[in-house]
Amino acid sequence: MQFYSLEFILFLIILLLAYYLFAGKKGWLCLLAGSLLFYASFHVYYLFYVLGVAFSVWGGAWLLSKTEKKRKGRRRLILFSVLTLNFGVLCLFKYGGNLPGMSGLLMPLGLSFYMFQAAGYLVDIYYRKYEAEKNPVRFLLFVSWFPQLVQGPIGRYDRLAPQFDKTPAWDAERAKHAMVRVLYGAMKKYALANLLAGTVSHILDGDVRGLSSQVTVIGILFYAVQQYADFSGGIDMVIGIAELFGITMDENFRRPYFSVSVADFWRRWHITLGAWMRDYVFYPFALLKPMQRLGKTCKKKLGKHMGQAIPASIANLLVFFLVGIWHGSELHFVVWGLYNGVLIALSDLMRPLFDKLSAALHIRTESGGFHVFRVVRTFLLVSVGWYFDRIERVSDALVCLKNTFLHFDRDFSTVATLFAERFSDSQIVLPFVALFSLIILIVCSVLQEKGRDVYAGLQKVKCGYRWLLYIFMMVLIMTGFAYTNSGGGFMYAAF
Amino acid sequence: MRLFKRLKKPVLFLLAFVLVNALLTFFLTPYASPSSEMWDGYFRQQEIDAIYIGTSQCYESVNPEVTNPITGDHAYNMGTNAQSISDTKLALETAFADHEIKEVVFILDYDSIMKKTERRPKAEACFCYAMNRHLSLPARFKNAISFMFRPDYFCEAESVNYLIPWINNRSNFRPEYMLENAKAKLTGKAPEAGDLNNIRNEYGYKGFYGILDYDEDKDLPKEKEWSEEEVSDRAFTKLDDIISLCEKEQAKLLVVVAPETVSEVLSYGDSYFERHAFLREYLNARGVSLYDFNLANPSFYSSLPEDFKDWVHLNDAGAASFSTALATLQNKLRAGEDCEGLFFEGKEAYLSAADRIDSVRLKLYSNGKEGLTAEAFAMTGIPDRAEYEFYVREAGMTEEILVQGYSEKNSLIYQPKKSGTVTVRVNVRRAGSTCAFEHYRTEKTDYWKN
Repeated sequence: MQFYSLEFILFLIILLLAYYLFAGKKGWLCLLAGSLLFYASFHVYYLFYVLGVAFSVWGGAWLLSKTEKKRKGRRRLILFSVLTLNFGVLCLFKYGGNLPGMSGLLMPLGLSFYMFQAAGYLVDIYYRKYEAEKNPVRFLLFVSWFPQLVQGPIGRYDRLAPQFDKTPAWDAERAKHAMVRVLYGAMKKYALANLLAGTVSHILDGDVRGLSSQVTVIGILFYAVQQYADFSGGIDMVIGIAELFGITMDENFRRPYFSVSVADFWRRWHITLGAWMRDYVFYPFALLKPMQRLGKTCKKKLGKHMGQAIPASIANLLVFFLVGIWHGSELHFVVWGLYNGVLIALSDLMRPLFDKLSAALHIRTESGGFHVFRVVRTFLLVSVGWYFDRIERVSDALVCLKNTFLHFDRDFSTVATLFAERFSDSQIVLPFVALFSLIILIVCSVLQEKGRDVYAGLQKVKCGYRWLLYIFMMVLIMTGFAYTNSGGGFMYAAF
Repeated sequence: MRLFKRLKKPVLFLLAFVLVNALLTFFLTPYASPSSEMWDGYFRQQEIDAIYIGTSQCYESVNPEVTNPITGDHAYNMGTNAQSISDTKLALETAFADHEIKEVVFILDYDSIMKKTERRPKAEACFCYAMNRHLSLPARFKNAISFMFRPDYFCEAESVNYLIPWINNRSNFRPEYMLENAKAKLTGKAPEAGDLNNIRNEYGYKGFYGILDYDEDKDLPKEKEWSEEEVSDRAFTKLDDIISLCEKEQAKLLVVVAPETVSEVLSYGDSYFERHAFLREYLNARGVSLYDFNLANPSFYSSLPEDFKDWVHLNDAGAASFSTALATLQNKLRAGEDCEGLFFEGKEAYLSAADRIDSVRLKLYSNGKEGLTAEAFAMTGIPDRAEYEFYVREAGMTEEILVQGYSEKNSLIYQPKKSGTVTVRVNVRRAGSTCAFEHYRTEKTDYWKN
């Protein structure tokens, strides 16, 4: 069931009517029924997995809550058994394609997202962060909540679950806000990401070694926009749809291309995955006794900064190795993950050096100019990472990087050929649709970055102008569809 | 009153959106589309007793103005752009309900029965819009609902986009086009009326005068594979329905494959013949004959290079000769003649007959230190008789230089002197020929000394 389909629109209308008109205090049951129906619409057998994850984790958490705190061994056994079982299944789907009997077996849509969400809950119960859920059916809703099923965001139990207990109360203003958010997300996905997808694939799915440096750079820049517009657009739609039911989901993006460092980028890009990794991998790993011992040794021999930075860097490398491998078992994903981890580790380790350098060169690190420099620098570093993320062979990515930086050609004929091929006379409007969508995206992002509430600002504009903007965005979406054959799935649904 | 007040703004917004959508539909949907022309023409017909039906390969290849005098029929061409098998069935049901049809010639486009290519939502939506213009309101509603709720569209964007006609049926966003289109709609007069390039004749045929440029056209057929596993069960179910429908209506059904260029046929390699054998067996088992005019014996019919407007469509001259041959076949079959001998049985016979060089395919590989490899393939049934000549132009050069003279060797390894865009041209001719070339192809690639 695609978001942009009659099936989903009818499903949403019926579910909203049922939720607000008939469900009363049993609203959560209505949402659960809708969520399971939504998931089953892709494949009935998917239900088996979501039920398996939900009930195994709920059972594990229930056992943990019943096991005394001092019985550490038993508690650990429960935790690791349930995690091993669930992540084992996930790994089998993600990396077991070559095993006998596994070829052609498709991973259930969104499995890794809801599994991470459920695993986070289990670890929280292990650390007694909050009370375990007593009702397995209620817990099933937390895992299977339909807007987030396909591509997250990876929600937290203590923030999400209590919202399901609220008695449904329709709020027209909230619904309006939600619909504008859905419209904004749809514009990003269908009028920007989908329109760039063909060109990105045209450039980067072929023989990339033969590409000119300019065409390679265009491919990577387009990919940077495509990926952001696709994922964040999808998340906007998810958050908007959830908001229609009065449920507030965690934000997953905070204008990542305005980041001032790679570490900052990862605090703004796929925020819920980053936070999950921080809470359930980084801290537990960094707080392991051997790591603490290493920290103390480093502090003694290399100073206080290194005493903190070296264990943190090792933990970061582990986190980004896992982030890379979460995207796929192929080497290029691992290299991409480690590239980010190394950059963050180096920037952390060398911070005193950078501080000294800034002081020696009398750089005003608080100035606007330096801020812009840091944003551009971060964008370049992140874009280099996209080479490894998008180009499927590491050796090809290295050749492309070499061409980009060492063989930058001044002859722009290859770019002219590319644009002539991609945007022929009958498709002349296509770049304009993408461009207008990009302008709207940039304007909104800049305003948000300055701390302005774009939606609230829009409400102050005359109704006619506001509607004109909404209709213009809708026309952009529809024009996008005039050039594509279908809505296409979301990129991150594949992970 | 309170409800009205609450709903006022959303309703007004919806109306504003509908208005914008209607304006865009008016300006962007073309005055005439293949579907609207077909249905408009169909509903103007007084008498139809034979139908030609299929995709653009039907309405651009079969001219009933040519076939009717030969067969004595009152045939109409119901072909539309990228017509799906479902729409073929729908059109036939309509024709059977309105007329006494005695023969149906289904010009089969293999793409419409393959899993990967059978899905044609935009063409199907256009078909539906065009048909609806001639139906009652309830029938229109039923048609629209059946489209939007079709299982393969209901869960996809197409179900929503049906409500926005200009997404499915538009040709150009250029302002001058939009104005010309609006003018045509307001005056009811087609742009450049009477020109066959723009409008069908009264029998539903639409001819094109252009001739394919075998050397410069960019869409030279790529190598293709066909596999039995790729055929669509759903399309074959519809095909069975069509066969049953014709049986029920006591109409003779002929399945015909229209001529395509030799390059297109050869692009499938052996699988072209496997595909033909598979479909023939399938249809024969159901009492229906298949005639592939690409496999026609030259003594009966053969297409000329200048008969094509592109690699898979005939132009007006080609359509005239094909229509004549098709009508002749129809007459022979009606007379009970055995027509199997008019078509080749196997691959070898076809290949030896396809002895002309139709075009040449050129592939370039940039291999860093190893240089650049060019591979050329003459598109002919007898490739052994071809010889090749290679020219190269590196970045900064003003003209191509000969790097490998005519020989049977169809590949070239070339070491460019510097990085940049390299252009390679291959000439091809039959061995022993003294002409400069029969066909050529030019390709570019970017080369980097890594």
